[in-house]
Amino acid sequence: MANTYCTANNWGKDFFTHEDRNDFYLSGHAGNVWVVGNNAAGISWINRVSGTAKLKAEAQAIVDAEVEKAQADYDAFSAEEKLQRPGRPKKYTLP
Amino acid sequence: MANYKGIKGVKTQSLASDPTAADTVGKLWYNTAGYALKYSAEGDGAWAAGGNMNMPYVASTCCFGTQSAGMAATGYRAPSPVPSQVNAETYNGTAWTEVNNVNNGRYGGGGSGTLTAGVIYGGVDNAAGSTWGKWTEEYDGTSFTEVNLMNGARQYFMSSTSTTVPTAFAVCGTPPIGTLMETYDGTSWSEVGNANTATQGGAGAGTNASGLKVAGSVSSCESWNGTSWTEAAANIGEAHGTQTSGCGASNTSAMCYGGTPYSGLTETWNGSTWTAVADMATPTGGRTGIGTTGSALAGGGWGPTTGPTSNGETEEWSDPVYSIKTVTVS
Repeated sequence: MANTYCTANNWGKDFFTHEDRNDFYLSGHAGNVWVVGNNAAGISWINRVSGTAKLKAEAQAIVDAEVEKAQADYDAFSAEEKLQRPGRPKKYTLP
Repeated sequence: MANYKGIKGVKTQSLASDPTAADTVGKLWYNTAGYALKYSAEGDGAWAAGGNMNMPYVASTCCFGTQSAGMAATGYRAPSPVPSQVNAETYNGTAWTEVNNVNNGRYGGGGSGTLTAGVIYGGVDNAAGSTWGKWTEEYDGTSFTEVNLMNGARQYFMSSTSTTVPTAFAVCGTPPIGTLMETYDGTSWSEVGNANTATQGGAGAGTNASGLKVAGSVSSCESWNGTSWTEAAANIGEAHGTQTSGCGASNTSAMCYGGTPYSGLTETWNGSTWTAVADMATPTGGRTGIGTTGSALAGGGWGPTTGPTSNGETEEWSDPVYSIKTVTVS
């Protein structure tokens, strides 16, 4: 089943519950992008968290922009800071 | 038309409010307030959102305790190079609350114990030019006090997650990437039997009598019996790499989650095999390693853009997951 996409701000406790995780696919990404399983429980969750629906391309563009910003930040770091970081951020494709 | 009594021979219990799911698995009842037929179910383990930390942009904290009584102290702070966080926070199962600061800010250290008798150790301050520390501080429920130093100054070692207080172990770490194993008996650190595989950034679990180390820059899984490390019956199935978090009660009951490249991968260990279970929702590394295979706490950490997550997002692991379902007919 295809996923659906939204942006939503993780407010903390119960933003998603254990039951949610067993009812639908959910993964969080940079830029407050959430990939949500496309079933009734997933759609209900988007409504519950006041998520803003996005097309996959729109969601991917938000993540890409965040990664590009992180890459620019990384490139500006000192050599010492780069050693402390796990590596230069890489773009990736949303599921 | 058949009804429930006709099929089962008994009436459905009517309740004004739902009972506790964990106490009523498999039970069916009619909720008179909501006009709904409901039942309790036991599901697979899963991660849920917990309260966000107060320290933003923090990762690789020193941590100990349990999911409902956890500690995350000091840690990496972005943007760097600046001194590491010196703040400390406790978690009550719902929210993080700031408590007294630590004496020595650092990240990539370890922690063990409880909220009334905890200990943090090792790590490095991310201020420019800092060197690796041997700092050890005990927490008595109110404040951190400096105690005897570790023998080896290092970070990203694998640490006990013991709630046997206040004891701890620290194995491997960097620099240089080594096999050094030390135990803390509540008073001082002692060098004991080293690990077989030198690594850093993996996950540790267990106690001074029964421990585990897994993953890291060189993936391996070793079991500690109180005297020596031996290769475990199986290595971990998924690639977690460095920044992996872990927790657990012993060398036969542990779990690890996250790591680089950032993922939500979660696996549990029963003493003979690793089993992939439900992923964390957010791909991260360097989260708190607190708790057990039934109840774990992952706070803060490095996010998908390889910087610390902005809000100190926290996830809580529970296994099994109890829930109340409504019977629907379609």
